[in-house]
Amino acid sequence: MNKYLLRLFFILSSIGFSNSALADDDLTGGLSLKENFELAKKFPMPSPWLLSAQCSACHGTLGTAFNEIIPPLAGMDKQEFIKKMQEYKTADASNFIVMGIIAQPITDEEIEAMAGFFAKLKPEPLNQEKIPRDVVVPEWAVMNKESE
Amino acid sequence: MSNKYRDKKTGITRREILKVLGVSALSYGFLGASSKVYSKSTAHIVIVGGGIGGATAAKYLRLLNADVKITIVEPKSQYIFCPGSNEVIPGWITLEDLMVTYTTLKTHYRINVIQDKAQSINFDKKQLKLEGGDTLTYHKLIVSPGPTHHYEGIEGFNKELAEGAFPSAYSAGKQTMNLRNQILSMKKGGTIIISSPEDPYRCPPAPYERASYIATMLKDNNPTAKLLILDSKDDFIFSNNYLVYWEKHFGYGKADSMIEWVSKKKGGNVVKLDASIRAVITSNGDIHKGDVINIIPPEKAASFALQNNLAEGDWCPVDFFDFSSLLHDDVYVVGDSIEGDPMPKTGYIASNQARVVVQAINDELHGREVGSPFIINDCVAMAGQDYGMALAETFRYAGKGKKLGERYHILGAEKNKGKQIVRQQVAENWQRTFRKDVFE
Repeated sequence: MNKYLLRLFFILSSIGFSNSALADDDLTGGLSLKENFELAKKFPMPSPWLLSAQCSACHGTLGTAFNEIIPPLAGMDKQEFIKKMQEYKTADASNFIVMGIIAQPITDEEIEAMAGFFAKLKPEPLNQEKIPRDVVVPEWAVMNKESE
Repeated sequence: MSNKYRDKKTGITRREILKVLGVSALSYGFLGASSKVYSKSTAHIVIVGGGIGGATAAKYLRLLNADVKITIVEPKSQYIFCPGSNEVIPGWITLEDLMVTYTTLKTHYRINVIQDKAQSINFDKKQLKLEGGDTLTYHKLIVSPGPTHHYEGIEGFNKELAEGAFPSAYSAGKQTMNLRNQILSMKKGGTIIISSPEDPYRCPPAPYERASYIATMLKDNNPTAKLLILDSKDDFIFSNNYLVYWEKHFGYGKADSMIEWVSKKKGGNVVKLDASIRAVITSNGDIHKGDVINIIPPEKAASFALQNNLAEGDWCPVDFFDFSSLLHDDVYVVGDSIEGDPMPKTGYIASNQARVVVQAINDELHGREVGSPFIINDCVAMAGQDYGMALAETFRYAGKGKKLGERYHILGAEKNKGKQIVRQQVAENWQRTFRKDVFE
């Protein structure tokens, strides 16, 4: 277990999981959730690939990366994925980081499509070999962090 | 692979591929065939710009399609990732941490990366001319050139000044280091001014994240110094988090506060720089002198897009179904150069726009109906190394000629210290994961 996971474990165990994402000073806007779901029904559902690819920036390419504190989605059991996302959608069980607010506007059909997509993929191993760092650092970009 | 440009399947080199493509595309022209007539194995997708939008388009198109030829035209041999670059200012990370090359895209994803600058488009011949003299023939052109930092939008300001005594540091690089060094060597009790631009501009929370980091630096090294944020807006994203953090850590709202924020309504709108007296002047005539002046200039579409008739006014209009240009066929525009309202200009969104584009192109190559677009923006920001924040937005297709339907949710200020740290860790983790997602 790397240091980030350890740190996360201690933090999470000290604050618990059962907190609402809907704090008083949250700001919501644009379409209401209802309008959002109505709009989703008007057009064909986006492909499972495109829906799932939206998660890449945090969970790694098509959900396959296991980096520090954000877990991979690839390889997750389909029913488990659906269950988690549905839990995130209900305020009282929402994840306090981002998953609560991300899951809320996603339709049940879209969640199921993503669950099916990710279940067929394999995650990368945790300590995957890094690609070579072949950047050339110009002189102006070098800084001595110790100078402070 | 012994030759990193060598195509795995055909064993031919990049130059040979280009040559073949040029010829085959021409012969279609001679035969009088429509531009739609090409097989998926001979199509050539050319991408202008190797930043987040361009690199994501290349990589994700390859994930969808093993055969199509993909070329990125990018003048730099390596790219400095912008998300996270505010952290270079206090020295929490280095610029080196943010540097990536195109090695993996070239070798693993078989992308031709041409180190040159795109110059002009011949829309009829579907050719892209490069400054180095080469001409590429494309079937589809994806334009992702980033924004123009419009220094001249502030009277008396220009690129030379930004590269010299008045760093903007709004694309990570030399100016970022210059700004850092100016802050570190500022006299005790000096004043730093940040001018935050009107909407729309790249990464809306970045000026305030930067302000937070600079105030943290000052608290440690120069506690009598002042930070003045002059804003060309009346509110800013995550103000529900930043103002709470500033109040707690820097005395925001009190007379002796280290940090002050002046809205446009209260006269914060900077219109002019007087370099000779190191001062900025606001629209109501107030003169603010600063020891360090960091003007983040207004933005418009990249000059490449403006010069090639892809823009109407300052931005490029697109069809939100597939981000195709409204002005030219077979050209798509993504990222900071588009008129994308209500989508903000974030790297996260540029990458997801790129995914919509490459799906549309790939569907068309396969003769399928093009799938609906869908875009998520999950924006994270930090106030310090102990405090993170997040918002989530979804953008749904709302019909031909309409803006995308937006739903957003911005998390409020978190009181629990443990959760503040978890959100900060997520923000940091996201930067690294995202960088890897785009370039590795």
